[in-house]
Amino acid sequence: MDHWMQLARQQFAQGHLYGAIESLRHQLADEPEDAAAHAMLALALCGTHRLHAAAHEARAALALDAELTLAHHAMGTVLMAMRRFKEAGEHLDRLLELDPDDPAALRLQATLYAYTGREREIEAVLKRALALDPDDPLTLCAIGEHALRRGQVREAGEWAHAALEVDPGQADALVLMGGVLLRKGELAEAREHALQALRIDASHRGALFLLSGVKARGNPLLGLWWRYSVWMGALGARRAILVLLVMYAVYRVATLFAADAGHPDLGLVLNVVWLAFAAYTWIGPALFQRILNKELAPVRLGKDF
Amino acid sequence: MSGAAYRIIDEPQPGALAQIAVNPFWPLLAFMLGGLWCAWPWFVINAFALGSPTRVRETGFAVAGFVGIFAIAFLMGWLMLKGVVGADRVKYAMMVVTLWKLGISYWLYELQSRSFGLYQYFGGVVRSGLAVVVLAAFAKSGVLGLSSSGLWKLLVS
Repeated sequence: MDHWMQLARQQFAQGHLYGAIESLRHQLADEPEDAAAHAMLALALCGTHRLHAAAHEARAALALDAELTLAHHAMGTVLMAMRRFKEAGEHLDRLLELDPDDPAALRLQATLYAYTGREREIEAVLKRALALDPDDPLTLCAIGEHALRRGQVREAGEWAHAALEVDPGQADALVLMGGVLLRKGELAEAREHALQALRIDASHRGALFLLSGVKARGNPLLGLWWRYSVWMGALGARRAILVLLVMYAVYRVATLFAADAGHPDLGLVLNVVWLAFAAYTWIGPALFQRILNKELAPVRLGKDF
Repeated sequence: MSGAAYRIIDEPQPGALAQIAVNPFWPLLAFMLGGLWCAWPWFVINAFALGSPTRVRETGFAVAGFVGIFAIAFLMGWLMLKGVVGADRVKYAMMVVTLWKLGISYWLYELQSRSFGLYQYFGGVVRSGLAVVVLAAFAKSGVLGLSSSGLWKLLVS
């Protein structure tokens, strides 16, 4: 019975989320009322973008044990991914009420503050987490990431260095250091850090993001698509569709207006630009994926990743 | 699907129709090349073929899409009768219908893509929809010509 939970934890730590989901499925088949398994499943599903199912599992965990910190952690994480920050905040507050000395909970709260633009509070929360455990590499990384977001590249590098001293195999620290190197324009070193992180955690989103960033810097045409894609992805499906519709409407109105105003040449130019944009966004993902897959070949990602 | 008893809520449960499941990209392409008359019903059939957990929602969107076209067409007609939209501005106003169709199609695609990803992950059979898209593209003018009504053209194109 514990075998599945142990395996799931191990898979989770290695970033093998699909494997963790399958192990937790077995665990829940044996023990349907295992709140911790539901909560962990929620986190794994959230990591694979299955937010609706993740929320369902987190709710199940809370229904079974309303005091379980992992369940609040999961619910807070899922709600943040769903951009329901107010509700996420309520769960994080409850989580910190239940366990005020949990650095992971404090880091999660710092993430929420970062999402909601409460910059000043981030530092205080992370300092509190650091005071609780000065050698926690994840907290060191969180502080470094915060510094990097604010453009403090040198400080971020120092925090990354400190985290790597504590644990040289910490994927987050490698990604942070890679991010610092990318900012400094040291592309080859940044790429190496991303690949090293992926060897440790093959589905590390930050590492994949870093690797994409390195490729984007190296190829301006694909870099443009990548930035557009990241921007659209951050909007979420509903808003991304709205943005596309607005873009299409602007293009159509401009074309019709050009024709009405007796400027057929302008209409032609607009049509060509729109066609180029459509072709670029159509071909861009396939090209980018191909380049990235080539880059990831040494990491040997399994089909499940 | 998995042999384990625990089922996660968003996992598709394909039935007999699974033999005709396609990537939702094909119905989207059919919308672009053939029109609504084949694309939206295809999205609905595909939702059931994939055993999509959101199939009822997807069907609802397709139905709401058609109802919406009626509503927008009547609203435009009324605005024209009242003189709010002049004859020279009709082409601008009718863009609302195009945007509506695009919005519903993209939303159906987005919604169905999630189920499709899981369906594929669990080894579900996937057919190519190319033949249907080609047929739809060739049949488009014939379908549009079935009636000279402007509303018909709005509904099927």
